[in-house]
Amino acid sequence: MEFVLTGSKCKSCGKIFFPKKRVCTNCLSIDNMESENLSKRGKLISYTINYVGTPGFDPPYAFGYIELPEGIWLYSELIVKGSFDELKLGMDVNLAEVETQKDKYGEAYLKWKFEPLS
Amino acid sequence: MKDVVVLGVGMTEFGKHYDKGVKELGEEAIYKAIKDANIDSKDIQVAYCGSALAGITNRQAGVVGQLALKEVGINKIPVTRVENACASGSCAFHEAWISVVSGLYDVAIAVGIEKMSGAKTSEFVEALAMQTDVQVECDQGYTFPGHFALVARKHMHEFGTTREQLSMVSVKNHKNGAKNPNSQYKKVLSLDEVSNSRMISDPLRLLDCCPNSDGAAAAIVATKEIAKSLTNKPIYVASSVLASGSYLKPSLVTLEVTERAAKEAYQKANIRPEDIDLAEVHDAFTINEILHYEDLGFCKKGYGGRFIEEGQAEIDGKVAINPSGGLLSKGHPVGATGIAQICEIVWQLREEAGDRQVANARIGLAHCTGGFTHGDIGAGCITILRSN
Repeated sequence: MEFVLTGSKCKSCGKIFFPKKRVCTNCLSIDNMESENLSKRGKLISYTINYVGTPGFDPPYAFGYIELPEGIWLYSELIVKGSFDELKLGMDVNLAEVETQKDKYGEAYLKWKFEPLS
Repeated sequence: MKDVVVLGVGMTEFGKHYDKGVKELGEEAIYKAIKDANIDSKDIQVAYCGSALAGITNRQAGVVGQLALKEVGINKIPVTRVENACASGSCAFHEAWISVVSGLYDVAIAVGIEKMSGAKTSEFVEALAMQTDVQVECDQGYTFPGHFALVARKHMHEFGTTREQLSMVSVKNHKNGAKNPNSQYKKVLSLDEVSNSRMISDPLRLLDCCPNSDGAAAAIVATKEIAKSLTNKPIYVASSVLASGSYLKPSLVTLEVTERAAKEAYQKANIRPEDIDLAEVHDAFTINEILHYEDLGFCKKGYGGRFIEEGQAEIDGKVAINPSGGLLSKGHPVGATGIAQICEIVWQLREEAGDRQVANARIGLAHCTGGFTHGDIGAGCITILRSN
């Protein structure tokens, strides 16, 4: 299955945002956005292994900060199939999963995961 | 603009107060501040209450300030709750200062209160992680130790900061906290104890992280004219600056908000970083204190690790950082923290800090950051106090 994260691109100035939004903070136009699929491949700026998590997470889990070519930075859980030792600063990562989940009040949100490219 | 003086301060011991709620914690801190200020509760004209997690880590969701203030006979006046995540207390003090510096009021109180000990570890980690853009950060697995672990790894990689230097921050702050009767931990730690403590978010370990705490702190500010008849040791607010993030260019190794707010605070106080004798900074994690040395201008970017290693942050160092023990040892009841920093600086500048007294302390700086989202701190608050 092909996963994608979709943001907004301002039709006036070309600035790309994620998540989607109505007002362009760059040129202040409103409702002037088109959908823009973000790159699936990004760079791992830094990572950690969380041994304490929030409810709903199963520690230990790998977690990172990812920069996409669009200049967007995303936090993401990282799928690591082998040892956590394979994670390296600056390595390429790929979008591996996107799922719609609901919080305890029933509000929907997207949950995404990236994986390292060896 | 009026000249503003901190007239009185007071705080509870920080720690686990299983037998007290937010009302009782606030009551004690406010009472102590009123007595220290040498005024009557009826002299206070306006109040601000810093409280971040009430309603999440306990069930007292609203009117926290009014509840605590009324216990000490402060009523009828305007009371406003201030929420800015971990900087809530600092921002309550900032608002109290604005109300007096502007000439609108003569006497104002800032109180900060938090009760966290009833929550399970995962619950309070989540309560703090909710001080972000929840769906794109908290819900993706963000935690504050996790975020600052990303920072630590990057700082270590870029500047050669070491595991041992992180531990040195915790060792120093626990050494200071052991001399502070209000501290949650009054226990000296060894480097090995910190470096071998349980992993929380690699590379940050348990003793790199501040604890979950209960507590309250209060500070009363007034015009110089009012202070004249009440104290012969006035402590002046030289400047107070609150800034928020730019959310444009994320960085892991610089807290740009701190850097920007500090420059403005030094300029408004007409001083330079070298003039600061002591600073109470937001050491939620050891790596944070190392960033603050750099971003507050006490050393160059990337030199924070060396700054602690060379002893420059010690009570008798170049600038005493967190003589109170900081968040790491004194504790971090979120809404109270910023005002407890003000308490410490006032005691230091009055030379009332006992065994942890910084010699010849004349100028002190309080620094707090609150929340984190889209690559930036939500709130950065800096207040500079001076004794002359």
